[in-house]
Amino acid sequence: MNIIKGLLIKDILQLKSYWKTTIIYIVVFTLIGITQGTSGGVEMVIILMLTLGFGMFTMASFNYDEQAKADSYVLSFPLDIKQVLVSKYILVISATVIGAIVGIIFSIIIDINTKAFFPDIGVLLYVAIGSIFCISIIEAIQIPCIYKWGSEKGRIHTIIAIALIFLIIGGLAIISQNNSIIFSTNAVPNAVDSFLPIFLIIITALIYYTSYKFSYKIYENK
Amino acid sequence: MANNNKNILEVKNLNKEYNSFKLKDINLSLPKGMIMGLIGENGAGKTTTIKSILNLTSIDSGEINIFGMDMKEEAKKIKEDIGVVLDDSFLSEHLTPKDINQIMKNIYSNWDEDLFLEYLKDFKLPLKQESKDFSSGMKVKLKIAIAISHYPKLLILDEPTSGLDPVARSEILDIFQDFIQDGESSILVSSHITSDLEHIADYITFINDGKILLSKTRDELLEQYGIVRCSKEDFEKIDENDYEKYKINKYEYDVLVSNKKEFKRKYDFKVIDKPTLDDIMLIYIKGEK
Repeated sequence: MNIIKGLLIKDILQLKSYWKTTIIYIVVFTLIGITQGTSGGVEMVIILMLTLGFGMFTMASFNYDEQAKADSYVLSFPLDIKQVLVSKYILVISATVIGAIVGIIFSIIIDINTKAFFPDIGVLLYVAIGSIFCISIIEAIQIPCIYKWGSEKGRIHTIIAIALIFLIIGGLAIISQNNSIIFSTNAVPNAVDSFLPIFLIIITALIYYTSYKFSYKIYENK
Repeated sequence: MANNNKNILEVKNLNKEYNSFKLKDINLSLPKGMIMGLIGENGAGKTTTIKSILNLTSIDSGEINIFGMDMKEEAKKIKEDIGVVLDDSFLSEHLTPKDINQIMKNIYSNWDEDLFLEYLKDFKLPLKQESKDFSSGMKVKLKIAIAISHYPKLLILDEPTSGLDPVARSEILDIFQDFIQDGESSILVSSHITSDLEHIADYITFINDGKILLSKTRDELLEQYGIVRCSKEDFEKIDENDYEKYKINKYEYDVLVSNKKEFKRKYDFKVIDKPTLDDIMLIYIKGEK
């Protein structure tokens, strides 16, 4: 565990130049929230953007490693590939969750300040879990892509992969519309609706686990 | 980790092939308390050999034993006692030595924070400055300070002195000499600055095109080998079996012999020059037979 801690410290310390950018990012989105406070749906934007922002900032640690060609040097330490990958996933997942928590806190502050309505913590949690789920898809694709093609090409492949997902979903939606297939939300039992957050958490965990497995295979064959 | 074996590192029949490059049957033995220099031109296979030894790249066949343990089986345990300097790979330059200390004390169980800080002081390295602002010499010294602050028994160094001025190189070579003083620790160091190795290495291993051309003690190489500089007519009198290789220069032939005493006895050449490692490397690579 100490070794993973050491690797996490490495990543956090080399990201220190990003802290200023992160603070500016939080301030900008909070200001947007305050100015748009009465519209009600702004909490969703704040939580989503902060979750995305925090998660994506940690991706810069891959750039730093790549610039320094740190992979070989790190593997000369008394550790194995698993520990290297686990530390990266812990970093990215933790930052994403912290982003969502910061988003919730700022949403509550904005709601109380603007007195728009008393914040519904349940709704904010729903939004946070949904945001983490969405961001996890991007991160889960991006990390193995970075290990496979490097930071720059990996980003392009991630965009292509995400665009493909949207195309498939969009295509299915068009096909179902053309064939008059209507998904009735009434058909979804209430029980499923109330279990949705837990379901999303489980799916998110599975997404990260699958991504880790892919990254491991790629790293091992490098 | 008691290792009664007199060799700290043993490489047996190491083979590795990738793209168009092949490492062929590499065999090395590095005794305790010794420094082995790996020499060879760029692309000869020095870095690949070092990365194979460190298990940083997969090998096709062969055996690597360090401290009497199999590197494949006991890599983590072995790496606790190895200090590494790689030419092309390090930590981010946005980290300060202070940051690196925070990282390393979690990585190596033997990490000695006080010793590291002492080395930083000795090497005049600022604690809180990002390494991107360091000179080349300072960067190498930082890498070496990291490599030796957890009391390793073996240092594996890939081109540690490249790009350094003579003063910085001399300081670093002194550090290496100090490191092996206990008689238990050893160094495997690759360099294409052969003059450095002439000063510090006990053994010289010469790699060319993925193969070991020779692996001998420094004294054996520098004292027994010789270069005969002669005319074409004189060269034609020499039996092919009595020299290693020859190189044709503008006005003379440079003939490399592996036993100058024996050669002197057999032929009437008055002057046989003492070669440098550069001379030996050059004639082996560019010469003919």
